[in-house]
Amino acid sequence: MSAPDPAARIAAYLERLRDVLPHDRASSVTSDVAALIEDRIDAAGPAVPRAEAVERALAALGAPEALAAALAGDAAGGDAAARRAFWRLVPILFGGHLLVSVVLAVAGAGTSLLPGLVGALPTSSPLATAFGVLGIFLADVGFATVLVALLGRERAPALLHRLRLEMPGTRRDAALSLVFLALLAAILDVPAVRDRLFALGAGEGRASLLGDDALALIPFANGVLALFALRHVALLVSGGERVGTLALDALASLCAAVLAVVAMTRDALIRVPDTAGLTAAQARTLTDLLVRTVFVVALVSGVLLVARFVRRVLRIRQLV
Amino acid sequence: MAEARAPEERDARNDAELRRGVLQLVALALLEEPRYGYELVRMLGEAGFPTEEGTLYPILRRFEEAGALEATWDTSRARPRKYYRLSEGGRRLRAELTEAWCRVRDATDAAIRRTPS
Repeated sequence: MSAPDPAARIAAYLERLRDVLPHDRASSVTSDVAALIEDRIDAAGPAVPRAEAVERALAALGAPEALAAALAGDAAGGDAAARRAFWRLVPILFGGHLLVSVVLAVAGAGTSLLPGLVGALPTSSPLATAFGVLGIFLADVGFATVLVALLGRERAPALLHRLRLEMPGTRRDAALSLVFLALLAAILDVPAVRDRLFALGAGEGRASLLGDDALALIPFANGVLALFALRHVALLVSGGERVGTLALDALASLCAAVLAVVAMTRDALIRVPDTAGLTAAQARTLTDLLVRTVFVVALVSGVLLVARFVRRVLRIRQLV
Repeated sequence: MAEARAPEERDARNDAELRRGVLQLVALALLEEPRYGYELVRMLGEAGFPTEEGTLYPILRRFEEAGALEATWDTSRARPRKYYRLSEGGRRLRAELTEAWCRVRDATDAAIRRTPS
C-alpha cells in the first residue's frame, strides 16, 4: 500500500474540516488552518520528509471534528456536524427511494416490497403522486434520524466523510470524454452506423434490432449527451471543478437517470424479426433476452446516475 | 521502567492541568508584537507552556472574533501568513485576566501556606 500524497492528505483534512464547520466560518477557518499547517511543515526543515512533516502538522491540530467542536464549543460543534451528516443522508436516501418507487410505478408493480416503505408511487392523480413523493421524503427523514441516532453524533459525520463528493477532472479527462460522447452521438445519429451495429442477418434479410420506442428515445438521448458535452466543455474552459460544472453534471445525471427509467418501461425497445434467419420462437426468445439485458443495464445505470446526481448536489451545497 | 516514569508522567499531567487555565493569559501576554500562529506555539513552548495548534488556534480565533486580537494577512511572502496582535480591547482583557490571575495565585498561596505540611 503506497503512502498517501502529502498534498492530498492536507486537502482531505481541510475538506473534512470545512464540512463540519458552519458555512459562514468555513472559508476563513480553513484558510487559517492551511497557513498553520504550512508554517509547521516549514518549521520542520528540509531534513524531515514532507509526508512525515504533514502527519506531524495534522496530529498537532487533532481530528477535524474535534477542532471544529473546540471552535464552536463542544455541544454546538458536535450538533453542527451531526446536522450536516443528517442533511447529507436525507437526499441520498430520498434519491434512491424515489427512483425505486418511480421504477415500480412505471413497471406497473401492484404490490409493495416493504409495505408502506418500498412500493410504487400512486398514479391515480397528480395530487396523489405528490402526496406519495411527500410520504417518501418524510419516511426518509425518519430513516436518517434513526441512522444518525444509531451511529452517534461523532460516528455519523465520520462515516459520511468517506463519501467522496469532489469531482476531480482535468482538461485531458474532459477532452477524452468529449471524444467518447462524439462517438456515442455518431452511433445514435448516423443511420448507416446505427443500422450496421444494431441489425441481424445479411443482405436482403438484414433487419434492425431497434424498436419504435428505441428510435423515439434517440432525440432525448441526444439531449442528455449534449448536457454531458456542455459539462465537459465547461470543464475544458474552467480547468477544474466549479459550481457551474457541478450543476451541469447534476442536471445531465438527473436527465440520464430519467431516460434510463423511461427506457426500462418501454415495450418496443428491441425487436428481433424472424426474417433474420431465425424461427419465430427463436426471435421471441432472443427479444426477451435482449429486453431483460437492457432492463438490468438501465436499472444499474439509473441507480448510479441518481447517486451521481445526489453527490453533485451535495458538493454544490458544500461549496456555495 | 514504567514505574520509574510514572511520577514524571503524573507531574506532566498535573502541570498541563494547571497551565490550561492560564494559557489564554500567557498567549495574550506574548501578543504585544505581531506573531503568526506557529511562532506563538513555539514561544509558548519555550515559555514552559507546550501547546499544540489544535489547542491554541480555537483560543486565537475566539479572541479575534471577540475583538481582543487584530489579525492581518502578510501577503508579501510566497505563502500568505496570518499575524495576530493585541488590540486595545485585548490589552484591557489582558489586564483583567492578569488581575484575576494575581487574585487566584494569592488565594492559592495562602491556602497552601495554611495547610500543615
